[in-house]
Amino acid sequence: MTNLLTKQAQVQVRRRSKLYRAIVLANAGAIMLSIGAYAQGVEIDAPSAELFEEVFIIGSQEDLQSLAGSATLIDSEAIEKFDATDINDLVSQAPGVYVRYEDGYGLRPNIGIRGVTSDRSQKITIMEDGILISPSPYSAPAAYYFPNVNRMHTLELAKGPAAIKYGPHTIGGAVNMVTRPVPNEAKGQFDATFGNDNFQKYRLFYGDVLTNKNEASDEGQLAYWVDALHYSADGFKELDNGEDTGFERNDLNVKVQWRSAQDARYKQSLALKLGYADEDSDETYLGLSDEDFALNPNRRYLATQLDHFVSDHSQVHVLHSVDFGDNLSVFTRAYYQRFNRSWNRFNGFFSMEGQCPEADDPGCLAIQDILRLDNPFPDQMALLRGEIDSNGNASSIFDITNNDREYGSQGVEVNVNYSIDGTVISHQIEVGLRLHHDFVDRHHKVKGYRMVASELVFDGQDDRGPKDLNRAETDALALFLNDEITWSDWTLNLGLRYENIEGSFDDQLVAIDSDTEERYRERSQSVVTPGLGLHYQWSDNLGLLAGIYQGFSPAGPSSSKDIDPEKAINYEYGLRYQRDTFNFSLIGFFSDYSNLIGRCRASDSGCAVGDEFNGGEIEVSGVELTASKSWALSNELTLPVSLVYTFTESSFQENFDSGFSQWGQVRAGDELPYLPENQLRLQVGLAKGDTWSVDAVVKYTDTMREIPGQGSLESGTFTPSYTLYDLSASWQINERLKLRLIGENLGDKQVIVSRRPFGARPNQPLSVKAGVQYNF
Amino acid sequence: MSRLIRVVVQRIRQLGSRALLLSSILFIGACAGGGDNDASNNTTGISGERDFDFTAMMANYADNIILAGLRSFNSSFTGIDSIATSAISEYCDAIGSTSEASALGEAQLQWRNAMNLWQRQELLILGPLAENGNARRNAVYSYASSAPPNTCSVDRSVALAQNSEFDIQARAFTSRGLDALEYLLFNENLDHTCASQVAETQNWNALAELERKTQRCEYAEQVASDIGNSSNVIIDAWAFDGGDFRTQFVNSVNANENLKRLSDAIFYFEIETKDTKLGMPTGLHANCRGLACPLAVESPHSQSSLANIRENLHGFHLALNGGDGLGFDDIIIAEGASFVVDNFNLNISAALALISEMDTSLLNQSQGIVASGDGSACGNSAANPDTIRTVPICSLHGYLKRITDSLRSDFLVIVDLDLPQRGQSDND
Repeated sequence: MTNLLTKQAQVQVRRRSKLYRAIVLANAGAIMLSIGAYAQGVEIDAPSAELFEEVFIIGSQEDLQSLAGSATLIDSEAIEKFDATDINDLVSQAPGVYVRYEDGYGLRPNIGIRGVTSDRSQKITIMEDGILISPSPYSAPAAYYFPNVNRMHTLELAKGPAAIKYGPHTIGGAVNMVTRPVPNEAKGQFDATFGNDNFQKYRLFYGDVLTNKNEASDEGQLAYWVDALHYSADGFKELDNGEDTGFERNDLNVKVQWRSAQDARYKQSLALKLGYADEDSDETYLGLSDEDFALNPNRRYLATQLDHFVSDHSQVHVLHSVDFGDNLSVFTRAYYQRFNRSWNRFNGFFSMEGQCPEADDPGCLAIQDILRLDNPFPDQMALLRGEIDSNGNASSIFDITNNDREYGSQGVEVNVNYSIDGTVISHQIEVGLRLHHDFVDRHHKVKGYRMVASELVFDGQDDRGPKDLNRAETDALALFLNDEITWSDWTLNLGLRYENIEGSFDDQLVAIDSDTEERYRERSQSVVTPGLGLHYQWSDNLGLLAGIYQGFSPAGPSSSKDIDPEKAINYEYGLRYQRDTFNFSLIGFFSDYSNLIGRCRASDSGCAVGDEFNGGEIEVSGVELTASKSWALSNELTLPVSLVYTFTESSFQENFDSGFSQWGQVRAGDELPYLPENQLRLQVGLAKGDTWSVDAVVKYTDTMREIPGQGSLESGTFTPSYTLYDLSASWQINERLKLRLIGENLGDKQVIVSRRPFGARPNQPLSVKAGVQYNF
Repeated sequence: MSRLIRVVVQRIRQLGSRALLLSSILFIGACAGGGDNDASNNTTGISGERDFDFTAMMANYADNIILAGLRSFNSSFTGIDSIATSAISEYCDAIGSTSEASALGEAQLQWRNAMNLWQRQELLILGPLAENGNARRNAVYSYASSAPPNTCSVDRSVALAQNSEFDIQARAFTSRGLDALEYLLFNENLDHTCASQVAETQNWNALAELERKTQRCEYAEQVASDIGNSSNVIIDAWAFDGGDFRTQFVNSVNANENLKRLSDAIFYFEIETKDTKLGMPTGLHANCRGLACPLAVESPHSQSSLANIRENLHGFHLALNGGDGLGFDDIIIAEGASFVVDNFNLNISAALALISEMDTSLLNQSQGIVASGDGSACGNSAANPDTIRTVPICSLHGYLKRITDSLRSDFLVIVDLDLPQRGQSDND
């Protein structure tokens, strides 16, 4: 902890105002900071950097010890240590977080917290600088856009009662990514990383102060940075015709921030952030049969040769804070975001007349059934591989659908903070109001292709109508009230959240003069969710905490009226112990769902995109353990060790047969899919001051069911347990130059990490990356 | 809010019973226990048993039972190994020679073998076989159809087939298929069976015996070839590059529909096997107005009625158990009613054993009932098949009735299906 405290002492500007600390509910992840503390962020985290403090939802580590809840903070050093570009790798450093790997690069992450489905991270609130960043968090919360974590300064995860302020999806928790602060002097950084599979990453950051460079000046100060990121790879999978599969991402962001003079009567800060990001990738939903996976996990069937994802994201963020003195401050955020994506990909086969229950269904054969172990559809399987040509039947024509969508999200949020410092009891009150609008336009166009001599050839039929043509939009008003009451060694947090959600859905494939319920759907949801957190500082070293709150995740606007919002009463309690460099926390959680919702995605069979399904009562519980300690081996050598362990169990509480393909027939007592019972991460480091450091990581993930079930695991319905080993080494050659060598999955162990969306898919194989960082 | 308060109280009670915080934490970690709500809702209509692999079951029926059976049958009539067709041709060549009798015997044997294969297939008349009023099935075998075999129709076709422009596929099913072939190969009476005014056969009886045998045999060759073509069409209707019914059948989205198809098909065992093939000749079915109805006997020329029933029993067993793969029996066992499967198998075995013990044909036994002038012996045999076997075919009917009674009740309830439309009543 010595290092940590030293660092803290240096980073005075990162200290949060007393008022803002009042809004913080939770902690548990000080270890992440302690691990990262000895690694040097060099210039970017220099003491004089200007952080817009209000963009944090947790804050800095000094807030953590007395907070009444669990949360994790992963700082810039931890992000930089493994040069992370995959958010999955970072969030899995936190306890109680579950990821389901998909493409191996984290392009479209699946993150769940404390039992909520990880499916496209749709049940967690995702923010950048405290602003909702999902493409359409209310109308279509599947996070097809996720900010590039490599450009982030800090990553925060709030769980338990801490999550209630960050809706709309409070049921599991929130992830907040904080961008870099503006510097108070000219600073630049160039970063280049190269790895196998032609992995390349280039990043250029430059910031400066435009006016009044003297920080002590009485005048205001205007500063900015520009952050450009590019990374790409050829992909570790290979098409059967020898072609690469890969991706390319670009990300350009600008932040301009003005702050008032130090002696201004009302201190203010105003920031404008502009961002643009795009992606071009050969990604697919199609995996492999287990049989083919066993032979070569990195194979891609010829059926995916046309699969292609293209997206662009643009955003404008405006942030303003003003401190009126007298313990009153106001923080305002306004945001405008647009996201367009087009995902042209194999979606199955068409069907012949009479092959589907619904006469107008163009295709109804689930791809998962084609990929089954017992190969019940050998002809379709041969077509996927390109081993045979299509015949004259519609059932041999490939459905290649372009899932074209436009998303938009905009709104304004105002937080008012007020503190009352009593002699015995003090209050820190925060009131937040957010007006939000978002939408999604889906225009899914389908084309038919024949497999001819291992190539997909357009079948010439260009009059197929759209598969989906609809618009969902939502106007939402969110209000929360939080009061942190401090009395002696006790801290009590009372929170109340109100959401009024007005959603509408227009299915433009239904004739205008049809029944309005069929074409137009409107859904109004109002909910008040309370939360309570309690912390007691038993001694200087030991703190006890407990919390309860009602979690909520709204039903989408396209859902039918018999679909209830997702609700749960969540409990947590535990203890935290800190002494010198030793940190320990043990927190139990229990989530009692009154209704779990399953949401249909394009990859699910037998349902329309956006359809929702009730899952009834669910119970999820677990224990999160974190421990860390840093030993000083000599004046310069330190040995930091950290351990993160999560135990989880879950069970459906009712029998039901669901049309949702991810559930199917569920019986009371069944465990939820994709929740490993045990997860463990052990990190051991060795560092010599600021000169060099080496870190080794062992990650263990237990078996995961892929469909609800209980008792013994059946082949093909679960992912196996696996252990991965990573290593990172960095060497600070001089003040400006730093070298980095990273090896991930050193054992080159590839297992089936998921059979969704369609078929078995592997984790990334052995990956070696070498990078250089130059600061100027 | 009331729910929140209620749950909070519950939890506080639970937590309060734990003295130590740590133990409470561990308790929380272990308290997401199994649910306590046994109520089911939104059942699919398929068996309520969870995780039953209907895709594998349907693939098993399609590949290992239906298509395997069709291909085996088809090989008797098409391709280089078409045993039945070859045997008929050899018989045609041998007419008038010293090997005529043995060649005929071989052709008849191959017919019996083919008929045995088809009788198993009769329990699985579904999909392409069942379309258009069982048209494809009737092209192979039209027994008990709306246009059953007609000897006069065969006689007319024999005569017409002498014309080079004759097209057997243009003829009605009454003169085609296995039943026509049976008449052509087994009927020793060479005279035609048509009314005198039927033009095509007016000169038939005047033909020389050798000529009549030859013409019948030549037509038998065409019938055999036609059966081969018809079975090809059926197999093609299942093929991926043909009608691709297999994809529809195996696709789990159609599981409800195809379970019903299979179940309806299996009811052949009640409606055709028990009621028509056995109920009529024994007089135990209401549609037989006399003591017994010998004229209703299936395959009268070859006297293979009991063999047909035997193969129906094997076919039923196969259709019920799915052979070595997943079948209805697995659904029933998974539902905890293995005794139902045991009873099915017990009665099937008893029926097969009884058939193997019979040395009097079904036709002769039926005629015996009529000759006795008393149906009570048959009734007693049917009611007590284990102990009274005075009239063995009636005892056999008793076993079959035990099977079909269980089919109507246990089977349909457990598998959660309805009676087929044509099996709504039981007129025993």
